[in-house]
Amino acid sequence: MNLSRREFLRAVTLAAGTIGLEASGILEISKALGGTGDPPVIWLQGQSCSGCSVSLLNSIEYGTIDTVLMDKISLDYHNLIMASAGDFAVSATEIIRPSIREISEISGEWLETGPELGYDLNNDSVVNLQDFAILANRQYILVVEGAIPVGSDGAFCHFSGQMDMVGALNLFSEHASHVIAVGTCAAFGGIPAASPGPTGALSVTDALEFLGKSKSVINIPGCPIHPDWVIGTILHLVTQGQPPLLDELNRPMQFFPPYSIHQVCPRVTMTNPYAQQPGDPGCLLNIGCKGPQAHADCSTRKWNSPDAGQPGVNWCIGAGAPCIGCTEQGFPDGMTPFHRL
Amino acid sequence: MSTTITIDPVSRIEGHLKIEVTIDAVDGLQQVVDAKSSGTMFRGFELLLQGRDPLDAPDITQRICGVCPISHAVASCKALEKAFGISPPANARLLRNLVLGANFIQSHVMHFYHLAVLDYINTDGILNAAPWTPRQSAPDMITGPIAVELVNHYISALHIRRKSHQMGAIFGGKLPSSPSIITGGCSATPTTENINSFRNLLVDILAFTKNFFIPDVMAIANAFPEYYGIGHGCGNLIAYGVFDLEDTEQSSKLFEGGRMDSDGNILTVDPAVINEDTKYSWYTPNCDARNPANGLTEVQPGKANAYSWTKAPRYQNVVHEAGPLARMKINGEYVGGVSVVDRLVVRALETEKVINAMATWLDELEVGGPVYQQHSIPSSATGIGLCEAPRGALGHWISINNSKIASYQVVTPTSWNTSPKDSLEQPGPLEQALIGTPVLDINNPVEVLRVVHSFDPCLACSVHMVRPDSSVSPIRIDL
Repeated sequence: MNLSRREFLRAVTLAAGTIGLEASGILEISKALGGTGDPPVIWLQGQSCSGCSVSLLNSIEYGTIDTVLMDKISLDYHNLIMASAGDFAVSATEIIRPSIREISEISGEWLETGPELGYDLNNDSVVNLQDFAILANRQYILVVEGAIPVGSDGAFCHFSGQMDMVGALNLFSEHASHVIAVGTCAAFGGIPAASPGPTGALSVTDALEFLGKSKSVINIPGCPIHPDWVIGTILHLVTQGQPPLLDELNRPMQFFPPYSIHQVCPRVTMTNPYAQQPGDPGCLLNIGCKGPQAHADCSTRKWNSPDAGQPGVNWCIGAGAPCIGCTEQGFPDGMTPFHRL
Repeated sequence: MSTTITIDPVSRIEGHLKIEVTIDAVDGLQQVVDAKSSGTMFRGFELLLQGRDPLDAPDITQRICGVCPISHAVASCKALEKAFGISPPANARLLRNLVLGANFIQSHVMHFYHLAVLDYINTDGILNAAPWTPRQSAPDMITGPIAVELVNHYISALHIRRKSHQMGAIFGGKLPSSPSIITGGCSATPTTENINSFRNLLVDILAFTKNFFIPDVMAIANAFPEYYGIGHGCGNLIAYGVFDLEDTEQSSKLFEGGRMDSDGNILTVDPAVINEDTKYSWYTPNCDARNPANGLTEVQPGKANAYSWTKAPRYQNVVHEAGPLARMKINGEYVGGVSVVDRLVVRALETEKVINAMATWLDELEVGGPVYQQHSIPSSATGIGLCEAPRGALGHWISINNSKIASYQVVTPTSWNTSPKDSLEQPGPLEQALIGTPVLDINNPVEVLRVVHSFDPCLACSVHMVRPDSSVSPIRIDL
């Protein structure tokens, strides 16, 4: 066996998880061994446009994305940026990873579900995500971006090998310590689930219910999400070990306040009461703004911040564009038409 | 004896792509002899656009792709404005060009540094954590100080692509997805202050492009000269053109549209002779060989021999490659060939050209000038909006009936590039580019990934969007 330091740490972490060590204990072990102790995050993409992933790369309040990835989380699976491709068994055989037997010896017990899922204790290595999910045993955060289509037996969104996204959600949610639905597609169904629902697209919550699982989901809607909302929530989970305060739609209230965007909109107090067409100053209600129905901290946080501690350079309403209510359960059907002439 | 390798999913691309290659020895050289490219996700935008207010289309179609939303916004606005018979004012054209340009830069920078470069450098001992481990490695990968330097630039490039988004948000409202690009113009207004903020960021990004991006790409090109001869593909190029320079329908463009055949002849583009084949796609035989204007989508998961949700667009039945290489060669901006390395090199060169043009568009903005053209939604109309995404030719087709969307259709660059075989059994551009690629180690086919990544596939975009039983002819455009 020839493990890299990180893989050794991973094995120890997995083993600790299996025997029921608390997360803080794992971090201590890991740090004592010189590791980062970063909590693993598995990020899956269902029916998504990758807009939430691309937005995530703009992370800033909790660190630029390089510092987040290097110092704060271990993003073990993310299709857009991870180095390796495909099935590790085919494409990354030069990576020496611990065998399942070795992991089971460290952990002191072979996971009963392994053989049931077809893994060979004696010959298989930890070569893919399925192994990882089983072995990680509730010690990772699952993030899902995009909706989960259950129509046509899952044929509308493939994951890998013989597995579709419904199967991937089933597998990876099983052992996740927390499930975060990132973006309005994952949180509420969003555009893929809009009328007439051609693919049977479901939110993560509804897809878990479809699978007969009771698992709580933290919803971080937005089309796309603001990166601070996601990194802030993940870091809260890591440091506090429990979800932040959530509203009735399971959105972190820190980012999705009970008051509407309209109630705190700076345009409402302008001397020109109502814009009559795009480009005019004033409140945008008459040209279609959905600010009264939307809850998010866009007016103060704003988007595309230049540096930590600074608000973003702009936001939808700041650019004279009506809010389209993208953080709400009714998006898009309940928010259209977006514009009014 | 041949071996089949499946890379499923392909990572460091946008979206869901599966690649299957058959490898065998030809003249003693182990190489790809057959390739299948499969788009493995479908959302059905066409059905959910049907019946909606036409003005919703730019916002909804931006959500096709989070990497190139602005290209969809611009194509959608152009289709609507054509249908409405209006032209946005000069400020709106310039603001759109600037937000689109910002999005081109972030896409090109991200492609090279964050999606492609890990195929060429050995990061062992440099990047020892997820998501950079585990990783493929190959004996020809760059090691040592140059690898360290490229990793440092990978990090710098994360900041540059963020700044590109920040710059675009100044006029776009936010990125990804910019709400300010609307039918009739732009909702944002230029001020002296925001023009200066934009310009300051552009200066930083230009410096990075000249001092790092272009030299880094050339360093890869010089280290892998054999890749000038790998991944040639079909050799036919297509572009629709992008970045309007005038406020007329027949505006000249920073990149004009056109085609180039494999002999280097420059030809015109007529959208009316584009057909989409579905023989190997999961749609019923009724859908086959239709122009997007009267396309048909009836899904047939499990269809025998089909292997993709992507349709196969063809120009007069000929396979064409779209992308920055097509734009740059058709416009005489690049005289190199068609290969893996040529595709990488032109992205960096195109970035500099776009940045320089953006500086002049900033100068042309008129503070206080109009940004919006009033309009009303016609009861019945059709329109085509042709544009370019960073990864190539993008077309939106709309037809309006009873002032609602009757049909809405999109053909994206990744549909062109990653298309499956057609009814003439011609493989798509990426499939053709893969065939002949030498593979040293079948357990670690990094050469295959290099060819795939050179196209910068964006699979969310490849979902074609033709709606059932549409039969309205679009307006014909001769470019």
